[in-house]
Amino acid sequence: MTRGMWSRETVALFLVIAMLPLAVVWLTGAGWDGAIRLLAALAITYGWQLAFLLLRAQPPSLAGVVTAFAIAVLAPTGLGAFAFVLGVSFGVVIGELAFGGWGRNILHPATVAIAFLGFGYPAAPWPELSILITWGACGTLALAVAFGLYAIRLVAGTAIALSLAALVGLPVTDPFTAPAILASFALLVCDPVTSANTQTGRWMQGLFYGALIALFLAVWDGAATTQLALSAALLANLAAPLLDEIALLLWQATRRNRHG
Amino acid sequence: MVSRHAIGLTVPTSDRSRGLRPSDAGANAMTETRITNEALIRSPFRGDFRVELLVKPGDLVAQGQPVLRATKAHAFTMTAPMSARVASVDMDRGHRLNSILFYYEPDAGRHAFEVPDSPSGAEIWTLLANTGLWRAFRQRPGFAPAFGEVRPSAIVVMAHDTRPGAGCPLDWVQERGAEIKAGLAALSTLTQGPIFLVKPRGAEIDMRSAGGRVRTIEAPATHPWGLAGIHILRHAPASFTHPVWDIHIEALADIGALMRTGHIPETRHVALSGPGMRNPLLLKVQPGADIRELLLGKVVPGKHLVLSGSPIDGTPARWLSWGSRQITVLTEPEPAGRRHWLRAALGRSSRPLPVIPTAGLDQALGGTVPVMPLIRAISSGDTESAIALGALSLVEEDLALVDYITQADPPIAAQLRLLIDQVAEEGGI
Repeated sequence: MTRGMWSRETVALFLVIAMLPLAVVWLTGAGWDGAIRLLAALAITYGWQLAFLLLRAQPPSLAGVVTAFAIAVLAPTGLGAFAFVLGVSFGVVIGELAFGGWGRNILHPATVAIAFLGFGYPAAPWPELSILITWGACGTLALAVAFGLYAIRLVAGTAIALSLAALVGLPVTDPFTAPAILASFALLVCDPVTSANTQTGRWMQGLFYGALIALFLAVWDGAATTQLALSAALLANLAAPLLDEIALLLWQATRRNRHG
Repeated sequence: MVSRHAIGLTVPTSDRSRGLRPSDAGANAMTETRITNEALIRSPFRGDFRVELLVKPGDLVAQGQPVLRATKAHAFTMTAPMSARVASVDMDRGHRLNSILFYYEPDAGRHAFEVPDSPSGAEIWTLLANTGLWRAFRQRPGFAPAFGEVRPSAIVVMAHDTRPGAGCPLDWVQERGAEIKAGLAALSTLTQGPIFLVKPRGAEIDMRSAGGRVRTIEAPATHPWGLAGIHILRHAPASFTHPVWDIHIEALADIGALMRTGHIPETRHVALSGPGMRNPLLLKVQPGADIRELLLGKVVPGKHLVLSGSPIDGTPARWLSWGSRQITVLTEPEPAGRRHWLRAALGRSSRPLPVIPTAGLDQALGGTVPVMPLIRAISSGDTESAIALGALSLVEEDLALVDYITQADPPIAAQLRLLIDQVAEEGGI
């Protein structure tokens, strides 16, 4: 009869709070230019949420703030206004709202939007993130794990994979690659809705993201680090349902063994 | 709080210990026995329960005397909760039982049943059916009382309860070691499968004389580990071909008392708590007791919401239901004023808001089952996946914590009930 607190909008609110360390670090570096990009992304996101509210009675979500922020941080810069509006709209509408709003989407809308912009406009330069972003991303990860929003197994799996990659000599901790890897991890991969949601699936997804990063660092010459991290995030995101399915099959197999 | 217990199944007991003896220490010393002036018994099933009455309004009945029997199976009866006069019988057309109301008459005595010497399993089940104690077994899948000739593939005895405000069942039966031993002996004739006894971690129960059939499970003191569903899911998954029963340790002791004396114990413990109570109480009352009378003078001023069960899984109640051992009194919230039209418009959605996975949700079923895939299977009506994830072992009370955490609307627990009913219907059960 009494109700707890982790409704969809409480989760979204705490997610926004967890983004604060990264947001502060990023805004001090990106300045007014970044702030304008963030405001533009927010305006487009909430414009579409309003449209879906009026047309389909689909309530808006605070998680739109996280989407807009991720797009502002990671999307290629120097695009025209039309391209930016088109890309963000594509991500928000096709990636999230068409599925029924935040919580029912399969892919992270920001991942869709950034991939659309990055691969649709290959001439546009990917953003260069400063090394300080690394600390902001670590703060965000720590807060979100402490709030219980991000899965500790996902973070641990990625940490293991990246440590192994660093041990074999890949430039994971390089000041040009680390911020992009961690920012796209904290902003895109860990999202509670679209990441794997079984315990084994989370381990596998974390390892998978780290392995993809290692693979791209090793063989993908000439890619910008943000592009490389975004590609890994997109593939890890796409693989999440499959990894969950494998985890469920494993779970059922162990139960069959035990109970017949 | 986990305390140390010694039920002492091997301790020789004198005749004195057959009754309920106030002890010098522990919860029992503080427990007051209350028999309310009115009591009401209800149909134990959600659906139709066709009965034949054995008494009529105005009759005097002894405590434990059968007052009705099931039309489908005459052996199955329900008994008078106290020595009483039958006040009124509420039945729908076709002898479908709603409820029977009793007025307390202290002089009507206690009904004694004849207990056969060294009875077989079939005889014990008939005895439990005749005495109304069959209602103590709750059967999964479905969560109706065990009825008819079905035998369980496992039985789980719950000596642990972690719901907020619930009492400590082991404290309640501390003095009843011999009865528990007799109850376990009766239980082991009812099933060929294992018998599990779930107890709080750190509690000591002397199981030397319980026989090899009983396996103890130690469970942590945090919710939801005191719910039977999680242990059934982990140790003995239920299905329609392999139903699993669970029973409260106090009900088990009642069965033991019946086997030893032929009488059904008059009272059971009930814990009363919640923000609407002046002080939490532990009482011994008859089944079907009048909750309003119990609460008279014990609640804070103002409007209340009285729940049978915990604040998480309780339902509004006026009479203590047969299996209930907990009452929660909440202060009723002020009726909300009219919402602003914009907020109302923003909040009113065409579809309910989805559930977002959080760390709390992962632990809502004790980590025994992947929670999000289960929730998705239940809420999308995917019976096949839900059954593969163990939905048949679960009942509403197990998913109440999920609903509490996520504020899911419609409640996942209600959707699980629909799903189980649907599976039962498709299977022709």
